[in-house]
Amino acid sequence: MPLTYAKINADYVITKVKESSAIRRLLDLGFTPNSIIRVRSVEPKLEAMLVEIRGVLVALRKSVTDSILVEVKN
Amino acid sequence: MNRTFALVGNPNVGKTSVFNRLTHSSERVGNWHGVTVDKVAKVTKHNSEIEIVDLPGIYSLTAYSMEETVSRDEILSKGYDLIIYICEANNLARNLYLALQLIELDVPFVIVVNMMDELFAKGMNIDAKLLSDRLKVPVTCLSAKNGFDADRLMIEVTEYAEQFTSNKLKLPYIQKLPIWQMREIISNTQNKSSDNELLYYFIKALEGDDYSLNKLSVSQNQRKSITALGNYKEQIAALRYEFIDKITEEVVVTENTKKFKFSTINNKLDKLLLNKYLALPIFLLIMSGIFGITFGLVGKYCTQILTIGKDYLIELLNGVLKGTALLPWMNSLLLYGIIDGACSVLVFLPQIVTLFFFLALLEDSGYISRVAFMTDGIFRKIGLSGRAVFTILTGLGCSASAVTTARGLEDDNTRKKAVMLTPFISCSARLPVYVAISAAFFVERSALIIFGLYLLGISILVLIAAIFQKTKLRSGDGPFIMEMPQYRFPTYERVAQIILSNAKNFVVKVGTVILCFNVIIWVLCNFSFTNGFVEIGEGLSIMEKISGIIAPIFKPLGFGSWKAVTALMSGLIAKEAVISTIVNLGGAQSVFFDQLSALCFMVFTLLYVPCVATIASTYREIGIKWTVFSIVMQLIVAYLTALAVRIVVLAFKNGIFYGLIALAFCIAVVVSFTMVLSIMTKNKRRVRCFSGCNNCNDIQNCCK
Repeated sequence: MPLTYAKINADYVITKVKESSAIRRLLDLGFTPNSIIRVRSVEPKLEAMLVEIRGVLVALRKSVTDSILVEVKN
Repeated sequence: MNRTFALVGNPNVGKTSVFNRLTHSSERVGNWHGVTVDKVAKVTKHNSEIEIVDLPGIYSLTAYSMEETVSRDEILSKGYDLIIYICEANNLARNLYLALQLIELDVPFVIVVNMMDELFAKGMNIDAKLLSDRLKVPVTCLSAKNGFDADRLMIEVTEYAEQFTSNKLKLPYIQKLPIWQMREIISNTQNKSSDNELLYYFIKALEGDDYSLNKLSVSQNQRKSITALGNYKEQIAALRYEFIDKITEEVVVTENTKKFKFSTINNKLDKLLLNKYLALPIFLLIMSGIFGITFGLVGKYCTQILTIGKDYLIELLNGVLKGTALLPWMNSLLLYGIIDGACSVLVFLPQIVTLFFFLALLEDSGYISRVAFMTDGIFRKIGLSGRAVFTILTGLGCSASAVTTARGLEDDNTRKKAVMLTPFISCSARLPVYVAISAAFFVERSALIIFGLYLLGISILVLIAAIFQKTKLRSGDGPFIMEMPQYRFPTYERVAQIILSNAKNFVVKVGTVILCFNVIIWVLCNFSFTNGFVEIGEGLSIMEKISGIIAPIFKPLGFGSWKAVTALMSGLIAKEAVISTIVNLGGAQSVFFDQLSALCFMVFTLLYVPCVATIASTYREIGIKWTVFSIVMQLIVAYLTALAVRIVVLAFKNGIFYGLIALAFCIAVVVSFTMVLSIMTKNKRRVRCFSGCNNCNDIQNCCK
């Protein structure tokens, strides 16, 4: 499922980063398959998310979180 | 022998802090992405002369914005004897990603792990020797904030630069890439790069990096063959991180598990400050508090005390000068042209210091990046991005430097808009104008009037940005990806640096530009073309003649006097000159007829063309065509807004009913204008490409 629908403070595993204009930057920041990701906060208008990946907080707009596919970490 | 070293690293890892320590400089540092937007060089002496170059932050050698392109080009030019690669201790894995690309490129570099104090606070440490062993690169751990032995570091890196031949590390993941196939596909390359460099360009070409493909002069057919090898974009990044994860697992050591409170505090603060319902009210409360203290408490008392001191000084000097043999016009020039003019601006120093004190606290704590995140939704609606907050914040200080921070914005249109709209944010140079005029005309409500002017500037920015969204300057839903710094306790040193540099800039400007300009204005106001020295107000002086020609244009705004026009013209040199000119011409009470004309003048000053320094910066960023457009736009917007304020206030004076009608009329004009623009451009709209390329505007035909 897209990261957009992930619950706050639950751990997810990235399965794929879909082709988009942001893919290069996402991969450089460590949004690679099998990385663990957690949603920390959602912007008041629900247009952006604050996620934690590799111990770093990154703000992503909804159009970007749509392109990151995740599954719940077992 | 002279050498050149470059400071490279991810954004917000403290490169400029290290640069300042190494070169004993005071370049601006900040707890947000994009503080350094161009390379800054300084020569320092450590045994021999060494030039240190501070480059803007970059995450990878695939550039994503203008500032990153500067860094990438500098690194790939290999014009440096050595790269000092700065890493953030808290975030070693992500920082080593670019380090691996430097190894792939085979450039001489050393790793400096900064912010070790924050890692220690978490009860963790980094085994520098082991990290150095794994990457075959010298590693030094330090905390630039707390100071370090710069001489020792420079000796070590210079020694390494002298002995460097090639990096000894053979990156294991390269074997998993189709490098031989790449060699076969691009065998006819005219590129004269070395074998190691070619290897780097092959890896980047596999990643689909346009710059590298162009560098290798890859034809369309060759591109297709490379694509046929498979999608290596994801795989290469994953392989690099897999290698990095193995290293960081070994070198990052947990020494004390009890010290994990720091991240908990961060989480709790984020929970409160980024709360869905509380985030914006908290932000507005903080900003109201800052403006209340700056313009109410400090503004009221400090400026009053300093003004009394200034008046006493002038009286004293007047007494002294009367006893000398100076001619009357010399007396007048010295007292009113020079001393009174300059001091009347200097008395506002306490407000400027207070404003920058609070802004420095916000900036250094990491809160401003959160504001960028929580306002992104609002800014996106008007075609800007949350990152525009950094430009706006810098604009509160100086418009000229603020327009350069727009380089970090995602796409060309957003950048152009940010550059053209930033001058609507009231810079600190305009502050003395508001304070002096509102103190003279709105004694009890001066703080409210000033706060209102700041809000008006932001509202106009939002309105014009929304209008731009209906034109060819439209920005789409581009990617917004921004790393969030940790909350940090603002350090005394950094806050003091921000305050001192702004206070120094202000005082130096008053002592140089404003002082010289005051003399020129005084001469123009007190001398005529034919009669020599004349009294102000006789209608004979040079300035009265020149400004008198322009003055009727401003009659509908209520300040169509030559004095007001002279003040506005002087504001083109520097906005502080507006108030010193008004003082030169006899004070606010003699320039404006009533409260309303004073208010309209402040509105016009807020919105009209910024100073020459900002115009020059705008020209550098967006070229002559858009600079001329922005100047014309700012003049029209200033005139129409001041006129609207006058009409609405006059209507309200005749009763609330008439006031509301006038207000509704003004809003209707703006809405109609926006709708007409929207209809006119409806069929011309294109879906813009946001791939970061400069050549295409259409996503369908994107050159990437």
